Amino acid sequence: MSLFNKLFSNKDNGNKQDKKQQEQKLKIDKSVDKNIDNVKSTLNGNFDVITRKVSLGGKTDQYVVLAYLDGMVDKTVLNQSILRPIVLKPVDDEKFRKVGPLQYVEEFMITANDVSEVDKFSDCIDDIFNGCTIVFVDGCDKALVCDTKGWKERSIDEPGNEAIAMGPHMGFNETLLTNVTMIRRYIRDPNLHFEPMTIGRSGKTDVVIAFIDGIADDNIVNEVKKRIQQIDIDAVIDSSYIAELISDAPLSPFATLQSTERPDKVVANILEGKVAIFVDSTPVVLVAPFLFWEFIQSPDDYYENSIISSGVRVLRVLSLFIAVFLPGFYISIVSFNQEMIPTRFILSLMSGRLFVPFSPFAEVFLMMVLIEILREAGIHFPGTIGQTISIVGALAVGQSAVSAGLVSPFVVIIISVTTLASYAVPSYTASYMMRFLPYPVLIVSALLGIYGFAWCMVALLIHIASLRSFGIPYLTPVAPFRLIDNKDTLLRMPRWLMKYRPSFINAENKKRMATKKKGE
Amino acid sequence: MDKKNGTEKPCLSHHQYACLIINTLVSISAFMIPSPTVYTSKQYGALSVLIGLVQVIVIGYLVVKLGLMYPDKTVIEYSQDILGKVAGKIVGLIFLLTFFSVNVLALRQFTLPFQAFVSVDIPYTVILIMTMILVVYVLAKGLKTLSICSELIINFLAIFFILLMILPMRNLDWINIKPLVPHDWGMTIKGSFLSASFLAEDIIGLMLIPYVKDKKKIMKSNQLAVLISGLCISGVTAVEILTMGYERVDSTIFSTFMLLREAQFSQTLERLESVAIAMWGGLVFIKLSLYMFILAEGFREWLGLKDNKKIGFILAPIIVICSMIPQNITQVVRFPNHVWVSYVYPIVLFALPILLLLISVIKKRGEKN
Repeated sequence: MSLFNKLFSNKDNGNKQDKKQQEQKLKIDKSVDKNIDNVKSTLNGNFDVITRKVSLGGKTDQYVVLAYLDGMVDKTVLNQSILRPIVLKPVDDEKFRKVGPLQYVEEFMITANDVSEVDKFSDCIDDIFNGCTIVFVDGCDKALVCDTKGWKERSIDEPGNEAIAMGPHMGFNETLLTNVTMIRRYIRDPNLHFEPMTIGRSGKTDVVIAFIDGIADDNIVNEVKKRIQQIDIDAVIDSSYIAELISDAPLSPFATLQSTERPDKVVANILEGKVAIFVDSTPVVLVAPFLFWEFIQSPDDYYENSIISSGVRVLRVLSLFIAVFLPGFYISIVSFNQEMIPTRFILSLMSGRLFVPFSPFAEVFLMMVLIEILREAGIHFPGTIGQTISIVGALAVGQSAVSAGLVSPFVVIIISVTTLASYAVPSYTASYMMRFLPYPVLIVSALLGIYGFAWCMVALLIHIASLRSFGIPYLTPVAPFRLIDNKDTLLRMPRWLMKYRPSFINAENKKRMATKKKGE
Repeated sequence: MDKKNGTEKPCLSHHQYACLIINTLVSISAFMIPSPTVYTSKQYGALSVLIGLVQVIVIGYLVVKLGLMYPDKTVIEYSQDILGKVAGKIVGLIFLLTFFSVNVLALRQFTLPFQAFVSVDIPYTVILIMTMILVVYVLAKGLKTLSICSELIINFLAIFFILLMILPMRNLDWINIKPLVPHDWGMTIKGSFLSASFLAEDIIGLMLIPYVKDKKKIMKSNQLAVLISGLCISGVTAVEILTMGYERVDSTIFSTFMLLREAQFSQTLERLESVAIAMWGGLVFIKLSLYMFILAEGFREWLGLKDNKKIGFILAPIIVICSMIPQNITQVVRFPNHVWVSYVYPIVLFALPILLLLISVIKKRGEKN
């Protein structure tokens, strides 16, 4: 081979994966021994590949081979419903001749509940990976696939990041089927679709798109499918991989896809006409589209009194503003525009700063970084002690910093309030946005005073206004304004007033409740 | 828009169109009209604004009628259809220069309250440049983004006006506005021209109508927007005269800011002009961005080019440099008011649309016959 060819030849020719694919084009052989060899060579003779050759009902000339992956199958099912009947049940020769060996094993021997025939060897390999047991029968060029999936899974717990006081306390776990079943238990509607897909060259992860036909917008469903199908990656370890790849604005601090571990939240979203994306091995389910106002909505709003919930939502908007803008506002006031606050207030504020050696900016920045460190340490600290450490740490560091004269007490209050406010917003996705945004606001405000602060607000407004989530403007329904959809935005109206689903999701079935006229 | 090139489709709902118009009309006027109007028409300032409003409603009717005769084109394009190529280009250029001067002045006026009420040591050129960066950013994001911003800011505007009406309640003095019926109608009407000249900026409808999806509702939205803006400004003027007396209003350029500076809420919230400055920032920013869009799109059509964003990038530094020309506050506020009332209002904002409408109606009748 010439040097040129060596340098520029297509290296994919030597790719082992492709070789394997070629091997997978093999047909199922009539000899079970050959099939054992094929399975072992395709799966590289790995230790967890088990092939078990047994006699068919005590016959000496007819054998059956079971192939499966150790650890992926439920051994009780395998032993009781497949292995035991095949070995021990005597063969009825008349029936055996009439229906043929494969049909006989399928219909008269195996007692497992889900059995099907396959004729491609590659399908056998895929099914083995999925936890099925393959039954090869001597003299047949087809095989039987028995569903024997069974592995250790985490129990259904309340998700730590999204705990609520009232309402259901279950959360998703890492098993796709368990997660899908949780949704099925809420929505017993034949129109509920679960469309499976597979992503990842090596990972071959199962992804399921859930929506209700007639309630979901077909354009959004197709767009979600299209974007997921375009993903070409080696493996998907978490649903956030998919979120990053299909999101409208992956670089924006504002998420355009909802991620949640709560089944009730997913169900409510599916019933509003949204599309949920389940990924195997991930407890986090994605929901599209996701709009700005959902940051301030929490499942408990719907489980409690509507007036109180509305009040809490207003409080959350306030928290969102405080979390993002308070440090910047403080800096612009203290460094540049002292005249903007009432005299008495500024006097007490300034007296606290008398012996502080730093500029207000340095002071606030220092405290913000300190809180970030505490927060990060709190997350990674082992066990439940993490939370305690961060609270104690914050108090101790704050208190000592003030008494040592490093920062003014006012700054400690400002930063504590900012941090607290960022946790008052229920969305976990929002917390990252609220951790990042105060810094640019702080820096621009420190440069340009109150003008810089206003500049940041307008720049953020433009950014949010320019975002779209699967074609829907991010600030919908407040801007573009739709009165009918605002019954569940900033305020949560009583349920009997929300008779229709959000109108920004374009679907045939919009009615949520029966509309009765007066006197009916 | 470009409907032909397909760069941007009609994207505004009639509600968004109304929001953009209210935003443009109210933004600078609510802060800058009361003082010069009261200077001319004394305690009848609020009445003058209402008379101005009637004039503008007539203009608004003509503007929308004209715009709807060519619902898919802007005035820059159809003025050439109506008047022929050369005359049409000249009329187009007159409109564009008017929009350009509004943008330049508005940008400069934008910096004034920051200098007057907020003792920032930063030079106004920095404010000009930083603001222009945002304006270009929103231009790059498109008209739809701008309309969404405008819709959101309108909500704050509503809250702001309620505050403006409620907070000074303590200081109201009815003697300031008496007698209610003017003894000199001449000065009241003279004062009305100034507010009418500000409100007649409604003429930007000629550039925006092609972007509105539902053409049938434009007339209603436009007139409602003009009416709301006029009533708001009239209300602000009335409250100012009531609280401060006309002598103080006419000598204070930013009388609306002063109104809030003196207002107090339960002895803790003082110096509320910061609220007004925040409002001013948001409103004037939308106005600047809208004019920037109109200019970029207008010049694109006038020059027959394809991309309006590049024109925006070229226009932005020119606008910033031009807005540095005025030397002092008189040149920024008083002089333009004079030119506006005497020349621009009667010629560009009033006569030209009527002329275009008349000729196009005659032409269409001729074609029918």
